[in-house]
Amino acid sequence: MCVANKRQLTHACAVVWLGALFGLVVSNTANAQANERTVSIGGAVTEILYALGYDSRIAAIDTTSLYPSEALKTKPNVGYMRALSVEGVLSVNPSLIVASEGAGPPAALTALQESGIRMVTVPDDKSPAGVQRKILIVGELVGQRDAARKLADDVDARFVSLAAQRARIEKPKSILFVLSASGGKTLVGGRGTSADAIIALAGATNAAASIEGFKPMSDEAIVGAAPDVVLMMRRENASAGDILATAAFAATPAGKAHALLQMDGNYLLGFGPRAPDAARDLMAALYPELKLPSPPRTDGVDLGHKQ
Amino acid sequence: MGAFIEARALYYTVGHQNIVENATISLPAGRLIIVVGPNGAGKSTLLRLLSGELRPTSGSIVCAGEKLQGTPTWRLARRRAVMAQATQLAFPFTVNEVVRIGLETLGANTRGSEADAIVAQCLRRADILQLACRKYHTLSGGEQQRTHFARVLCQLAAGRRSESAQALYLDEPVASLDLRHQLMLLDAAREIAKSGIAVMAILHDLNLAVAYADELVVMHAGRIVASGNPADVLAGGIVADVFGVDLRLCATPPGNTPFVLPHGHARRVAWRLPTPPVENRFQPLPIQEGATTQRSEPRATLPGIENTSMSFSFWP
Amino acid sequence: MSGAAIEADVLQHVSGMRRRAFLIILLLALLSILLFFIAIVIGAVPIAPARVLAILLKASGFQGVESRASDANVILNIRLPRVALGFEVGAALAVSGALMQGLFRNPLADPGLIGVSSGAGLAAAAAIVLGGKLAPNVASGFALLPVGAFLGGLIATLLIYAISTRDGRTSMATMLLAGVGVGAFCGALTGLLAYWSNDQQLRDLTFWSLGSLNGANWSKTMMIAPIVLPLAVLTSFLGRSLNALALGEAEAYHLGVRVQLVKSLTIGLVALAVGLSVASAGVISFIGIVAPHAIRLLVGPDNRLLLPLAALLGGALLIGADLLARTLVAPAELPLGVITSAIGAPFFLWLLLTRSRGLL
Repeated sequence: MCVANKRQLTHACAVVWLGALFGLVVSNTANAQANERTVSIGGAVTEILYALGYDSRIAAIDTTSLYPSEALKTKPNVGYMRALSVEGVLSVNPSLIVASEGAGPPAALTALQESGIRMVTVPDDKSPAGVQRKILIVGELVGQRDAARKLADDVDARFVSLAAQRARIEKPKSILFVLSASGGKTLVGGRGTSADAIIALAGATNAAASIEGFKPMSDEAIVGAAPDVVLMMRRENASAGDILATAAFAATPAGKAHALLQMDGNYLLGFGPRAPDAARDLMAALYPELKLPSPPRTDGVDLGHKQ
Repeated sequence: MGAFIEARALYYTVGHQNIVENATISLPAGRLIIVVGPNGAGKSTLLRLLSGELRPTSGSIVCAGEKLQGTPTWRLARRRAVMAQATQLAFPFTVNEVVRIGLETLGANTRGSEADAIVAQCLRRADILQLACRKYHTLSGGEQQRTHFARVLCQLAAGRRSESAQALYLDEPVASLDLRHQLMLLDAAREIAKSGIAVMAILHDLNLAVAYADELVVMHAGRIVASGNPADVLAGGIVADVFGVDLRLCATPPGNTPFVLPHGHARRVAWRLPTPPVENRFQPLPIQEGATTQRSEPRATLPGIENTSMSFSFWP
Repeated sequence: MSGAAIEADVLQHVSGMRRRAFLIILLLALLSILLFFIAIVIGAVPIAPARVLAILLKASGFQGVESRASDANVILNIRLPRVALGFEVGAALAVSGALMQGLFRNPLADPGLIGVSSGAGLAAAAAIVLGGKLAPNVASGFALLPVGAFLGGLIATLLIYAISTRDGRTSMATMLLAGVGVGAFCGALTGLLAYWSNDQQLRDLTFWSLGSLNGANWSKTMMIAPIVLPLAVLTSFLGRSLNALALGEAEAYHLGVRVQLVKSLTIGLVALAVGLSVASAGVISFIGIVAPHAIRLLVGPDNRLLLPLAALLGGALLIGADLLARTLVAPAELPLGVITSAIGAPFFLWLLLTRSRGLL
């Protein structure tokens, strides 16, 4: 008796499970039946397209397209930019693929090109000139040259005013960008990274300039680097403040002054049209004495305990 | 009938020790040769040298007219089958599948029902037909040993198609078997020998060895110290020296088959009747004319196995 | 029971087992074909089954309904080679697993024991991290990863084989330990390369090690073909030899098996098969253990049945897993290794629970 019921239960579970799986498969293949035309790969590229007012004709975006937030909510997502699915991209029926530099895998890109879709790679140069170039190239591609020109000029103007403010800084502070500090291993942003570039734009120095790329830094090296401020990306769990309590950081000027800055990662490191604003917000948080004119953005800086 | 295998001056040395020293032995076709000796005397090593598994350090082995070392492995497998002391099995095969491995690995052209018939016959002969569908690892040690006996029989049956000279090597084949199956297996070995195959077996039980052997070989410390007719070998008294045990040689009628009784050992065991005497529940078997109380005629057939008649045709 | 009755009973049981094995072969073959077709019909790009059929018929020479060029492109150049590659890789991994288990006489043996996966992983890491500096030509850069992974796997296997073979005899116990050692060494070097890598390369390495059939094309699919013929031809011979090996190396020798030849042949075939699989699809785990195990639970451990059936089941499993990988989160894609582990493990547990027949 018991056995028969168990068997029936097992069979029922199997049927339900298989049915759900099948439903998921079918519904996803149906959803991918959009009718738009451009696939945007890369957070900066998507931001630029939205800023140019082109968003209605974006067919799909990737997981790094975090701004504006409606992008991820309303557009189909083809996955991580370096692990694109060939058929997935083809399923949104694109006529143009605008890919940020670093999209992949190479085999998938080749297959997409061989399928006859126009694909252009936008170089990712982390500098003011690079941001402008990005905007102009994207604008050219989607036939919005004039709007792109306007946007690029606007971005340029903001960078120029930022440079002017940088000149007013008497004593640059040293910042340590911490990518993650899990499991006792502290990954910092060395030279050549996007963190390094934005720190320089904000008129500070990179405490991890001796390291190249995002690499682990030993506790002793952290103490030796003696950063004035620790900069991190904002996380859901608010336990980031604990990092200053660790032995290594407590011995630094940043630890002693409880100087921890958290900013939205995509905003800070994306190097899209909002790049000058991110640099400006960082500068304002670092040097309050400069009394920078325009108010900080709401999705900008989140100060630590006290500054 | 010629000799199946002839070995001369075999040496097998490991490090500085001679495991087998100056062994000269020949296995004639149609005879059952039993090797006895203390532990570590080199019996198993000698068997492995003769089966081709080990390479002798020096000496020559000629098998069915060819040098043993030059014989390809596949042809050797058709000529001789070896039942080892202990065999592991890594996967849950059934008894039937294990026995079939003996048949099929040779790549002999036995198909379908013919192969089934051979397998069934070998299973019957080893008295495990009723266990054929059981998983090997659920069997007892003795039943597993009988499974391997059936397997080597299948191997011999398969090789018989292409080879006229064959041999069977048995390394302590009755170690885990109960009395009935010990006798059954040795009866089968005797019949296999009668059908023209050279059989060499290693046994520990001296009395069984003496009862079944056509030729008895005694090994000690790597050397063959005696070989020949069992009665002669025992009468020479060498066995007591080799085993280091006091032995008393007795003889039972009819036929004066010799058997040995460990001598001094018996005195160390105290036999006492329980008091009050326990009611004897066992009825003695009716004693037949001319026989003694012990069934000491090893060549008699056992009741209950209907296929062990003297005119049994073993090979299909 | 009388002897004749027992014998009749046994024969009946044996023929019953044979019939059952035949049915299972038939079922598996049908399942594979069905799954193959389903995998071609379903995908991220919605194409009606009738149209799929029309495209396939047109491609094989029959004139039929005109279909959109892009649909034909998707079916013939993207989906069909991917499904074919999936079947080949699954079959190769499953057979390699069965061969390894027969050789090591252990049902838990994995194709990675002979170092192919760790060597291939190291070579792939080197290609990803150092490839840009050593092979700046973009075109050759695409081939660098698969070719490098394949060669890396072969070299690691050769090294392990050389370590464990002495006087013309390979010791499986030594091979196991050598595999551990070489695997650890490759892991250390891979870790070093991961340290040197930049952010992008690190992500590439991670995704590669999770396995994927993305980007499959006909040249990749044809690349695996060289292993199919030798495996098919040698199935009977290897099956019989591995059955005998299950009794131990000495017994196998007595039964006429040339043990060293079988070892070398098996190791060579496994290195080739797994090397090619890893080169085209990255590291995919679980198929090499689940498929042979499942077949053993269904038809028993006879290797002559196990090898071809494991191939069928492995191919079908991987096609199914890939189908899920590319449709569950369409238009994105899950890594294949995640699906094989997530589905393989519960499936295997279910098999064990419902059909526990005393696995050793």
